[in-house]
Amino acid sequence: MTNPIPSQLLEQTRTLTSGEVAADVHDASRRRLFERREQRSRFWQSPVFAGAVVVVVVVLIANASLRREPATAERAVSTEPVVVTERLSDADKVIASLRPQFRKCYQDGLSLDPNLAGKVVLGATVDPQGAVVSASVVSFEGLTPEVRECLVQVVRGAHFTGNGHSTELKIPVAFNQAR
Amino acid sequence: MLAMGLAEEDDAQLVTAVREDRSDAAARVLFDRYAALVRRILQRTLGPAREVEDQLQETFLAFFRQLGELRSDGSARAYLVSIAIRIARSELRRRRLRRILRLTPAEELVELAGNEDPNWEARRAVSRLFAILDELDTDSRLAFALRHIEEMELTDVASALGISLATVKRRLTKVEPIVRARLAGEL
Repeated sequence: MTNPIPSQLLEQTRTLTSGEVAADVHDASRRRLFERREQRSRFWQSPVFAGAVVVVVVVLIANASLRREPATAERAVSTEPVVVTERLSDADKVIASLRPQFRKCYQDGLSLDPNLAGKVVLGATVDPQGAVVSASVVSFEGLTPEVRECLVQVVRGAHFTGNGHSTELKIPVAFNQAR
Repeated sequence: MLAMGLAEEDDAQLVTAVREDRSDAAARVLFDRYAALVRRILQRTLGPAREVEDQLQETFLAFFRQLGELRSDGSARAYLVSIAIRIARSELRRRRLRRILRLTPAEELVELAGNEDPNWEARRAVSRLFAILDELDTDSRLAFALRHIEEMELTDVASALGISLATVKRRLTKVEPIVRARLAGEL
């Protein structure tokens, strides 16, 4: 591994960030940790917290009943222009038609993690007849492995109008919590 | 589970003890076992400031609270590292916001004891390195610190940051020349 930090500075940095501390510092940190743990535990069991939970639940229920349009993943899915190595006449149209399936993958992920968000670039190889012969994740930020695999499966099931050549596609897809 | 002999238990047994009966004794053993590792990750991503003790405690509090989400009881170490990185990311964003709002001057990350300290020159050099890292965006800084200071494999960096290997490589390729040039005084 070539390191952009000079070796002497690197050694000094590692020495000063070794994570080792004197026993009294470690003991004090541990004592403070368990004091904080105990305080938080008492808070969760306190009547104040129970009352706050009731208020929050009531507000959430009221908010949900007033909301005319439920939050869905629809507006949270965006696909940027598809990058192709050879011209595929209907690439953008086919990818646009996959959006509901992308959305389904994301919604499945949201049901497990309400804060799920991120983006992914999917790669696909299309044969001369327009069939997807392979698909994979090129790069990603966030999202779960299950959601990413679901998106790959969607792309594998796509079919384009063949152009007589083998064609590489890159499909950027972003998901966020925008309502 | 009896407290006696807990120090010899493996992670899975300790995690089960904490999860099932909220055993403080088992939790203390986990803290003693991994505090140095977590502190090291925090220091190498945030800089060697005393305040990492706060982030250290936050990491373990989150770990104990979220034990139910741990998929495999034996993966406590990796789970702790991922939480520590999440806490470090939040702290870096807080620092950046404070700097933008000019609530505090740029942090002097290493306490400089003065010329009489035999490590003074080293501390000053390390302080300068972290001042350069402060100029990077949060995600690039984390990738750089985990790769070059903590010496993680690229795949481990990707896993710890929840991003793809390609994204890690792209970020490192972008920031490595910047850090090298800044250290050489070229920028």
